[in-house]
Amino acid sequence: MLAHEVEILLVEDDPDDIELTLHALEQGHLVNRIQVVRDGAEALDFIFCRGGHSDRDIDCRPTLVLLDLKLPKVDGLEVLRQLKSDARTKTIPVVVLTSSKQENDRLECYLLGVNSFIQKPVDFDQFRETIRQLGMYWLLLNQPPPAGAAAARRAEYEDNRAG
Amino acid sequence: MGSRPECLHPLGWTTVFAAGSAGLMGLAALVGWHAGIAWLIHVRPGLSLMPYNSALAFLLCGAALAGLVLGRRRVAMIGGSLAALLGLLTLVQWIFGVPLGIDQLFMRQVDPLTPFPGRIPLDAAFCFLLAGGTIVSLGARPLRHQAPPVAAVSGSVVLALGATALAGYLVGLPTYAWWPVTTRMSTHGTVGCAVLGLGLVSWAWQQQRSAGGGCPRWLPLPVGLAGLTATVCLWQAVGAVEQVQLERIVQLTGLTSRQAARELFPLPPSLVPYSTLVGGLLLAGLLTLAVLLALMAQRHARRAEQAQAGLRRSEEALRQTRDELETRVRERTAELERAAEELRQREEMLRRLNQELEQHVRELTEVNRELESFTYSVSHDLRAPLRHIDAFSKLLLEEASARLDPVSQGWLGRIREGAQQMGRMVDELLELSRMGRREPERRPTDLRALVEDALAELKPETEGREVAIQVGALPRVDCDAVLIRQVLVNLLSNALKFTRPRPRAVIEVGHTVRDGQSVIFVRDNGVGFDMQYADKLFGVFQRLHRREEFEGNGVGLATVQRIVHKHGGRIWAEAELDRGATFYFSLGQPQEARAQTAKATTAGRS
Repeated sequence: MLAHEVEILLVEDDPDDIELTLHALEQGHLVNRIQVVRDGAEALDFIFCRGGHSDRDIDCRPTLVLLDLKLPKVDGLEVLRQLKSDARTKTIPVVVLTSSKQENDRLECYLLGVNSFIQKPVDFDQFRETIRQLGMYWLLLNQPPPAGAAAARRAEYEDNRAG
Repeated sequence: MGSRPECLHPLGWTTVFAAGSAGLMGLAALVGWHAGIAWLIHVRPGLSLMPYNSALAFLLCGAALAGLVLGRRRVAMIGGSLAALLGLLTLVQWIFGVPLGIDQLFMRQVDPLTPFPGRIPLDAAFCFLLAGGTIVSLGARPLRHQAPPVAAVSGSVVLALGATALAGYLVGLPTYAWWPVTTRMSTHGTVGCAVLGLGLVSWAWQQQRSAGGGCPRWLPLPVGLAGLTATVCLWQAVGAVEQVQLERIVQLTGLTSRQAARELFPLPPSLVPYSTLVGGLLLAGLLTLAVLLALMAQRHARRAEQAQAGLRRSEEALRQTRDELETRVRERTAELERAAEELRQREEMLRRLNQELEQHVRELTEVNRELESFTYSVSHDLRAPLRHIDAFSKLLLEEASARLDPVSQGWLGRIREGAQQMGRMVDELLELSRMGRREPERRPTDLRALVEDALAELKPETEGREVAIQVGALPRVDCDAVLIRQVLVNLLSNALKFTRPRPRAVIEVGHTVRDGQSVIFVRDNGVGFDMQYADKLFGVFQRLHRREEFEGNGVGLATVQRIVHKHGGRIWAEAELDRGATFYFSLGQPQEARAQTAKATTAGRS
């Protein structure tokens, strides 16, 4: 069984951005399995295997989460907070990919434990290059947290809940 | 000055009565002489007659006294002087024994009792001289201080003479026996003299009263004098009785002299004349003493009363002072209340102003919050469409380049350029807003290090160019290093940009003093600008050069100015077209900066 059935979870509401991001990722030939969710609530459902994603196994974690900040329903910061405050998901690398580089957003994200903060450049050439480097780094270069450890953490978590 | 009859004091009425009765008596005697009515002349047969001149003198004196009392000065002067003249001439006749022919001047008179018929008796003449003279002197100089005592003294002497003469009639004693030859005063004449004297005394008293003196202090003087006069007269009279008795003995025995009679009939020495003298003097002295004591008692009482009145006045003054004080206290209290009210109003105003200020602060906070959310939106939402425009244009260029002619491809390139430029503008605007909202955190900072840091950042822009950068001595200043570094980056970046056409760029950073203020400058030998556009230099999106010549959006200098102003400083530029430009900026002192910021805030709100 594959540890990562989904390599990248893209949390993005804007269809244009989705198309452009997917386009950039495809052109870099980096990933095949991308899951796109359109708002923060769905993102949380997917990550925590709830709602429409309840049939999913929580251990099949995405390799990388690309998170926009301005999202419908639940905003990106809230998604990040919940993801990083749960023992089962806090090791998933999260890259915030947003239009803004506002200082307070940046600071808040890092305080919540974001792994990287990227501003989408206006210039599409730069954007494509950014996405390419990002994929290269997080999917190929970077070593993900060990899956066993995650499973151990999960057992620990469930014991705590039962106790 | 005479009192008016309608408001006369009893003393004044006494004078009027005295003047009237003396004058009427004189008039009656005159009538008697003219009409031949005997009883009007001598009262009873055998008694002395009143000579015509005496009657006339009484009438004159009465009229004069009445004139004095009633304020008829002319009557007083004429009557008084005529009476005094009659008395004086008669006295001259008596004393020097020279007949002046005045005795029978107005009326022929026969009097068997006297060798000088019609002559005014000695004592009466003296009375007329005294009374007339006094009245004249009083009429001539009214209101003199010594007038009342003079009138009182002469009046009392006249009174004493008249009374003594009357007493002689009543007790059967002779008068003025010591005078060699004289005539006895008529009975009613004696009364007239006494009344006249009384009138003068009462006039004097009344004058003293109206001058505000109460009981006159000189009263013992006339009393004593009257007593003395009466005593001397009585003594004389008593002495004369002995002489008369000796005379009788001489006549009855046929002896040649009184001396012989006395030797023949040695009478036991009589003490009567001496006891009369001593008793009279004693009586007069006691009377004077009594009056003196009464006066002193009265004076003491008056003083006590004055003291009482003084006490009352003091009490009144004290009461007034207290009232005034109370009034003042009331006024002062009212004043204080007014001041308190004013203070209260001011406090109220201050409170209102404070509320307004708080309201302003709330509004400002609200506006700030809106600005925040606006910048947030701009930064998030405005950039997204720009990204999409650029991206899809690029994709179009890549995917459909075969189907597009070069002109269309150029247009797509222009679309991308526009989008990218707008993206830069949005970024710069956000940067400007960020810088503007940041409060400077002042710390002592080495400006030279900041300049070197900025130059390091700008290093790529100098590559392939000949650039001479001279950094002079720079002070340590109190400033926000992050912000001032941005200022230096922007200014140096401009200098590098506008010296690009020069084969050798010369850029100078230094420190100087202008108008007593420490000033940092950045000078270049670039293209400069026309000073007439200097005021546009620091405006947002203001550019003095075409975009094709020099890139940029006109936000850099606006950011610089905002940072300098935040520091309480000033920025300005001096330039000449094609001859380079120099940018100067000062950084206000910390306190000064705060003050200026406060002023700017106030000015901004109003």
